[in-house]
Amino acid sequence: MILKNSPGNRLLILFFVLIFSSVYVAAETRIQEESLFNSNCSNCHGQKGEGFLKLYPPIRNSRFLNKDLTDLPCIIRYGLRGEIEIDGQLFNQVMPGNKKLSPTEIAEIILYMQNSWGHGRTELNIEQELTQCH
Amino acid sequence: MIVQRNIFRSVLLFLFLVVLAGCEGGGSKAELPVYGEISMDFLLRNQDNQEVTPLIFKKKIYVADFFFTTCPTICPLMKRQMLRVYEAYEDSPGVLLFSHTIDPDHDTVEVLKNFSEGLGISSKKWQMVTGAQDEIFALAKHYMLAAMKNDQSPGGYIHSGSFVLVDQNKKIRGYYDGTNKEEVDQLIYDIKKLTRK
Repeated sequence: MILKNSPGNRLLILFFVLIFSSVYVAAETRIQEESLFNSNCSNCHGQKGEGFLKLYPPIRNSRFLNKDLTDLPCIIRYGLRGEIEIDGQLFNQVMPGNKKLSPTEIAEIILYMQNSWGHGRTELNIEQELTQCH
Repeated sequence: MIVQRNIFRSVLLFLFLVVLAGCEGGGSKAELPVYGEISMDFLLRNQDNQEVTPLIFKKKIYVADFFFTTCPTICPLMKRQMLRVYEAYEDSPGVLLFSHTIDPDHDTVEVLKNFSEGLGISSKKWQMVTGAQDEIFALAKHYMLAAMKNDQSPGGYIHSGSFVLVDQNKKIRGYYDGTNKEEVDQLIYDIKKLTRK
């Protein structure tokens, strides 16, 4: 089949280029988000967010990806200590904060976790959330 | 003629079995190298607030490592792997696991107790010990492992992720990357070699 150099065909080609490039960008974003999660979170919480024994709580179905989502930016940056209950199980370890992650990177990690385990994608205003940490 | 052929066959079979037995023996009896000897004295405290001295290693094969409970990088991987060694030798009284914290200011007896409960382990098999930081750093050096403060690293320390295998005579018999599943498989296998003696 030979494509004629008609305006219709040019539009068609443009259409496919746009589709493929947006798919490509989405895949790239996803890889970037995943690598941030893997290098900052998964050693403790597991690659599938499943947690580890009574030491590190699971994240995948925790309230922090649902109703307490807005607590996450502060937890990621400043850590967490004291007893918490996740899925009916008590955990009481110190989670170290990570002050090296930028607001954008924090946003990417949260989007990755939400997206991977079926919690949609909520766009948070990370910088604003970070001003309200206690 | 037939008798001769049978003898010939028997000799061949015999030689074959000898070679087979040789291979079998060679595989399991191959000696682990000796890298050094542990001779440093120490006084530390374990997760049950008991004093621990080198006496605890008497007639034991043990695996030592250095970590801290709030380490965000390699330690969680090391503890996952050490738990595999724990499970493999849970019922072998001659094998002990020995984890030193390099951050004793934070990792007190209570913190180590809480951490070991989180792992669901018993101090009979897996000791988590704390004490004076200088002494623990000196012990790490004695095991030929790196452990030092470093403000630039996540968590504030640089330290080795190695597991060190020490035999019943306090000789160091192996170093294994404690974050690597295959190397820890080898460690589990090598402990078995030492227990057979």
